Amino acid sequence: MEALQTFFENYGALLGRGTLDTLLMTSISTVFAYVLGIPLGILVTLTAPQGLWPHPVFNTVLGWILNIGRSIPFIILLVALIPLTRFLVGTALGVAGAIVPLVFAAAPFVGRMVEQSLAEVDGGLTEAAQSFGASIGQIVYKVLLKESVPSLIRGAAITFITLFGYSAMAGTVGAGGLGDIAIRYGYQRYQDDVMIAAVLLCIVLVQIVQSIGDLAARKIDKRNR
Amino acid sequence: MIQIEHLSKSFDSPASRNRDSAMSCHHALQDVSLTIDDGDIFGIIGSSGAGKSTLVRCINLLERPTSGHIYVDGNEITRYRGRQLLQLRASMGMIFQHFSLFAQRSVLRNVTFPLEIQHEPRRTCDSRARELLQLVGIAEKEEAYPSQLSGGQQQRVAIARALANKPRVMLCDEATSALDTATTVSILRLLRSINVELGVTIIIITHSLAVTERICNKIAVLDKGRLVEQGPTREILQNPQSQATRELLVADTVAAFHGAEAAVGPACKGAFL
Ligand SMILES: Nc1ncnc2c1ncn2[C@@H]1O[C@H](COP(=O)(O)OP(=O)(O)OP(=O)(O)O)[C@@H](O)[C@H]1O
Ligand SMILES: [Mg+2]
Repeated sequence: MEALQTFFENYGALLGRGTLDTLLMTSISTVFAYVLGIPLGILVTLTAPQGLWPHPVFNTVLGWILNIGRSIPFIILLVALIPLTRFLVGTALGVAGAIVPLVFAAAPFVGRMVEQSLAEVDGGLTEAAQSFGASIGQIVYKVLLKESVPSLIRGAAITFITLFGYSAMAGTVGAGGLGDIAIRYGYQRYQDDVMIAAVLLCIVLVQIVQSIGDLAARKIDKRNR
Repeated sequence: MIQIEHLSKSFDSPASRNRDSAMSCHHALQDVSLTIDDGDIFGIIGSSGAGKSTLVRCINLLERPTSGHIYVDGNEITRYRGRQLLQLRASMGMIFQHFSLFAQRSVLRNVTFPLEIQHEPRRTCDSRARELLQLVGIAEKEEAYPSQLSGGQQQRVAIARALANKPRVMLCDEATSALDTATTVSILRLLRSINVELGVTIIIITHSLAVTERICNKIAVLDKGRLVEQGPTREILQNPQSQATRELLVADTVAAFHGAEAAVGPACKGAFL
């Protein structure tokens, strides 16, 4: 018991700070990843061969961009984007420096997630909306997005958790966070207790986020009642 | 009045995406001409794949004809693009086999959808939608969601939604195919009363001759994309000229026989509406 108390006295602040940094990095980059990813997902859906605004060349090129974006290992993206990061946020270090590569890593992923969610919307609904004279914009906004909200929420939870994992590597640029703490203390200083505490915190946070996502999606979904 | 002149529609078949494509496309409609008068309840019948849905979808240009013309009240709608096209669609209501209600919208919001599309103010939307829900007989369900309704109730909501923009024409693609006999009868009654009381022209696709027999004043028979017969319902059913119509009649008699035995008893078929 006493050991636990001294542990928290010694490392509580460190772990608290790490948790905060991780949550900050992950939430902010999730938000920006969606700001970019939603339009990407909508565009790739609309321009598909059977879409509402078919455009094969644009669709193919956009598809390539999304695939390439998702295939670059995050650690390489992190380093490669350093100049851009400096330009955008003034520094390539710390939490701010990690957010730019996190957003760029996640945006193509989010684009595909959104595409997937929109594809789940029954084509009959799009057709019904068309039969009432809805424009493409109205169909996107009032049918595709509206009808896929539960699915989009589930996607957002998955994205958040994926970025949570990526953010562990952001320690490379000194962004801190739980992942960074686990690596530094566990591998470099052989302080297993700190490493285990950090990993436990990660597990708990991921569980909480996933549960909130599931609950929100279920609450908001008007089907299956 | 809707005049359809020499309408043809072909779809590229998968094979035709290769070389020499011009020859290998699928003709869903070939040289179909017919006239639908105001106030008609016009039945379109034919076996599966005959082109019924394609024909009806051409009327509100969900499908663009390959050739031919459609005139609505003398205006050639097959020329319409952009805004004009959207307005044309808004001026026609449509209902579907599987209802196609928006699952994440309440009953009331489903009915206000076509009005929202026209940027009507919220209050106009709501009061008009409530009127319509009253008309179709499910006013008490306005807060419910589609998943909480039976098939018949869902189709009533869909009918209310289709009427929201005060259309003069309503297109029904197998509107009763997913419903049981009793519910079918009640939906057909509702459609007829809409036709009589609101003066809406109704175009109804169906597999079932029992449906056409009870509510359509005219029918057209499609077979493999061609119009093989059209005219007053009674004449065609009593004295079918084409092989396709005769086959449909036979199929229907068999179905009605089994249906009557199984569900309602023979006397019921005659007392359909
Ligand atoms: N989008 C499409 N692409 C390719 N072929 C199509 C398409 N839509 C319809 N067809 C073809 O056109 C023909 C007519 O189809 P349609 O849906 O109009 O038939 P239908 O009479 O409504 O049949 P059902 O009673 O089964 O609904 C069919 O052979 C069908 O395969
Ligand atoms: Mg059909």
